[in-house]
Amino acid sequence: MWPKLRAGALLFTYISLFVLATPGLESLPSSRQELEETRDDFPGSLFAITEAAMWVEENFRGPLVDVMTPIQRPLRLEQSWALYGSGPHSALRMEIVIDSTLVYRTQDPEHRWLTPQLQHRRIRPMLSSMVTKKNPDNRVGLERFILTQAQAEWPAAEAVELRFTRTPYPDDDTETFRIRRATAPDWTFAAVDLP
Amino acid sequence: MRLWSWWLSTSSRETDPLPLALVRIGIAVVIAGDLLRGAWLGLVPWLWRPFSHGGLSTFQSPYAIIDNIAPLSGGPALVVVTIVAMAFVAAGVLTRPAMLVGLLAYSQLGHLYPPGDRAVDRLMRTGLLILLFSGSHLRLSLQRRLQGKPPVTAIPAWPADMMVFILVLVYLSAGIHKLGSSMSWVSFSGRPMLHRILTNPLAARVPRDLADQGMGLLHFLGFSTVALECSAVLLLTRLRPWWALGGVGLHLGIAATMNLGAFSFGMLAFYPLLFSAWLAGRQYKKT
Repeated sequence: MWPKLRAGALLFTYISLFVLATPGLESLPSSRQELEETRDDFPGSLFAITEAAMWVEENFRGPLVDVMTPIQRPLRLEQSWALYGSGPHSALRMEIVIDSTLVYRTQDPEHRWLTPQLQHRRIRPMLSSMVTKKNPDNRVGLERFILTQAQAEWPAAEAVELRFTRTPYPDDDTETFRIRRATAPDWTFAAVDLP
Repeated sequence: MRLWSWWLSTSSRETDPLPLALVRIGIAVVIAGDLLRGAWLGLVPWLWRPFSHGGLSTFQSPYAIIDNIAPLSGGPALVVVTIVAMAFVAAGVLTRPAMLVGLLAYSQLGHLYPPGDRAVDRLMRTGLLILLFSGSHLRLSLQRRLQGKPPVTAIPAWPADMMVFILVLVYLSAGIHKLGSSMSWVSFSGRPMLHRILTNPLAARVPRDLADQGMGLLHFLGFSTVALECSAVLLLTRLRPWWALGGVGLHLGIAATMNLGAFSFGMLAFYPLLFSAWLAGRQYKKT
């Protein structure tokens, strides 16, 4: 009896895993309208396959995933499965200026203050969102982190400025996306007008 | 009926415990090492405290229960618990209880700091959950050695099979996703996608001028990456260890050129399963 029960449970688990992580569906157009816009780009048969896959996604897999996802949440097992698609469209960088001295610039071997911390895999998503989002969720936390480290390193400092730049790939024309500055004595970060 | 009989015999199959024991040790070492690295850099209180108590992340998951119980010390304590649990898991001492404690603590860390809880963390937790139901603790176990118990030579194979199936899904999804996101992955003209990725200052460490000189190589490596990922179904055949050699090259390459922390090593922790035929020193069909 036990081997049959186990075989049944495993079959259910395999089917669930396949439904949750069906390869390829994350690349589908996000809406019918988007699909129609790409009609001319696809050969007819590929368009029909994409359309059928979207139907399966909307009517079968999507609803099942909606049911199964909450079960995975307590242990944080749910994920997109696809790991990595393509690189960013711009080279994103941050600079830290204490008073008027540049102490950190992303990937600059001559300005490396706090580099190990800022390059840490768990911090990097925050830097990225500061250069890509208008209202990044974790702006205040990141500013607080850098300010605390700066005050510990330079207790007499009067100003801390964070500059975020992006360089559209593969051009070399860098644009400043955001500047934030905090000054003594209140040390509250505020936006600075862009040059 | 024949299909059911085949499935019944497949799911009842037994295998050498060594590959699963190595996966157990690998995952535990990677998780503990990653957390110790964060502690070494002084990041623990910043990453795993609620925002209201000085943490970096503005939001915590609703499943983060520790921040209600002990907001100031809960996160750092969970880091210690996870590291100690992973040490027990790696050593094979009280392995299953340690796995359960470590899994719960590690998932709480993810709930406390969602922005830094990446796909590889979720994959390693999935691996731990499957290992919890496996016989991985019956080999390479300090506890069994101290107790003088004889080595176990066969355990149910389904946990190993399920992890390999998950790796197939992960790699296949990654390959198709790459093709869907940009055809420059497989094009040998224009700028290769790997050039953009490996010169991304936030995540990579290849100097731009060096990457500029190696366009041809980057075209080839990008194409090889997609080809490898899209052929991941080979993991279900006897070609598995040969495919895995390519996978080792892929992940070591990523580790050498990018700052992705535990990603490559977390993925490689599963690889003993892919070399099980060679580890056991016998033909794939017998494992």
